[in-house]
Amino acid sequence: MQHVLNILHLSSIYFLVALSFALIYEATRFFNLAHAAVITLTGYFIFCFYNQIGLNYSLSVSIALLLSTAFGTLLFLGPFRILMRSQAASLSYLVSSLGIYIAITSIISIIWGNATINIQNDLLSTVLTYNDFSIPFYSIVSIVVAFVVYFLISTALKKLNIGNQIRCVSQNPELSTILGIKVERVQMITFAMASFIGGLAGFFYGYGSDLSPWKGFQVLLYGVIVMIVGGIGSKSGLLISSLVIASIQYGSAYFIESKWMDGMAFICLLIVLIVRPLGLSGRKLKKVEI
Amino acid sequence: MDYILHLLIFISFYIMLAQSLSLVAGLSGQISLAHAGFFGIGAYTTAILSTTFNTPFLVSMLVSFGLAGIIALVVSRIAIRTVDDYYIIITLGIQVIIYSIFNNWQGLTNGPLGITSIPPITLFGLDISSKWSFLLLSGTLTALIWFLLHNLSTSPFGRILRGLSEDEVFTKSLGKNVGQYKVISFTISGMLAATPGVLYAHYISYIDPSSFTVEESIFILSIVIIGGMRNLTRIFLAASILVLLPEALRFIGMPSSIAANVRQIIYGLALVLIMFRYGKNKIPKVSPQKIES
Repeated sequence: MQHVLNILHLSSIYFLVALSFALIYEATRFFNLAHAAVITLTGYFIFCFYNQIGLNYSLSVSIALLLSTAFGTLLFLGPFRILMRSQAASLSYLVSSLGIYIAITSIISIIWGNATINIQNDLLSTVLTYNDFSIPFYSIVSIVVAFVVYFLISTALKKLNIGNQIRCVSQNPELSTILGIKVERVQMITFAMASFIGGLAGFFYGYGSDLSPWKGFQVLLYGVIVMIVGGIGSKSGLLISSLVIASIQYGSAYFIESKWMDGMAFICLLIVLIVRPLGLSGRKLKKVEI
Repeated sequence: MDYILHLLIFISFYIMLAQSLSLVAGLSGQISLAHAGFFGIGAYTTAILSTTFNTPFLVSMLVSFGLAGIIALVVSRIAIRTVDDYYIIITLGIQVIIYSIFNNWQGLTNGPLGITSIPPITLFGLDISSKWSFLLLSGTLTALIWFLLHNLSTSPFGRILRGLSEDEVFTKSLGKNVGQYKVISFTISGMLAATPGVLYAHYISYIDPSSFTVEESIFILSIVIIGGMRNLTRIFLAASILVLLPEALRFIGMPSSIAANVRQIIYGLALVLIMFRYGKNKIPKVSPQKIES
């Protein structure tokens, strides 16, 4: 039972990262590696406001989330929009997002140093025990938040007007424009949503394992693995694959040794891609236009 | 003077690494983040062989070639089944797995502690332990690799790689087995990347996993991109500039920890700016913005 709880906690973080990344990827078709910077920044903002300036914890977290959302949206409004307007090749987005990620991470490293930082709080760290298994409070929060976000996003995408627009743009940007949807505005809103969710992921991830400037990239990689394994276009696929990846990682930690966790996740990805190149849910993403 | 030689030797390593990466990332458009892994395979193979079996330099060089080549072959066969963006993730995954093996398979690689006391190179009876002789060796190998890559890129093989980087479907329609060319170029690239690895291990006489991380891969890729992807001379210049940059910054008075970060900021921003200027699609497609206006 203890293991189940641990797996749920890990998969909640992976799910949030994967969801935020997938939202951006589906709406704009680019692999935004700078998202890792948004994730890391949230943790560091919390550190700055709570540990360094001394604000109230919930206030720090809220401000940090707002700032990272703003930052993510600015990334879209700035460099990415310039690239889109100049009709860049899809690889250019990846490379420039990588460049932005490197620059931001180095700035974080200059301001806050390379040592790991801790953004924990007494209330959230309290460990609840029941019989012979224990779970820290923040684990419960992260699992609950992940489910809430999943339901909110799934219903929003189907019921809300903006949700439908996002789905339209994800499937076919040209057709959406013809239908009168302001594609750029929809993409900006998606970016904002995704940055917020990514910020949440950064908060929970940074809480559980101490944060260092390059950690955002690591958790983004896991999110990308979850997204690829789960298949594009399916939110429930993300949920399932985040559970799968988290279980495999935990399984490898339990049966082999915990140091192989990273490698195992990627081996799992390779196997899935060999067997089902489009991911578990198998939905085809209209990528090649001939 | 010694320090300048040291810098030049390091520049030669990065030139070899970046130029070998340009064969896949530049010429054939398969952006790979696994290169530090092949660098590491070269280094670790020769380290393990020369400390355990005392094999001569040429033998360990050949073995590293072979090992890097086999791994590159396997990796690219898996990777070519994927689309554009996923390909990079696969190569990144390979890099992580290789690093994981370096760091965790302690029986073989001594884990994070690394391998020490790697003997210096003895080539044809000559002892290559002074910096001048090492620079000569390293420089010769760099020139050889440069020559080889130049010939490859101007050959029909290189033309096909260029073709498939621009339009894969088109090249396939001309009857070329695109997958095979991708695999061959990736394998050659991986083998060539092992060379600086071997040299590095013998030069520093100590290696540990931290030299072969994802960040290193990203750095090598950045050299290729900043150097213009395909042009070997410009990559040579880019490698020199990027390796010398933290030294130059330190010269101005920046403390070395900040200098390393500032170098990263500079090449991070350089990547972005280069994409702004040169990242355009060769074939313009009608964009939603155009329809709107």
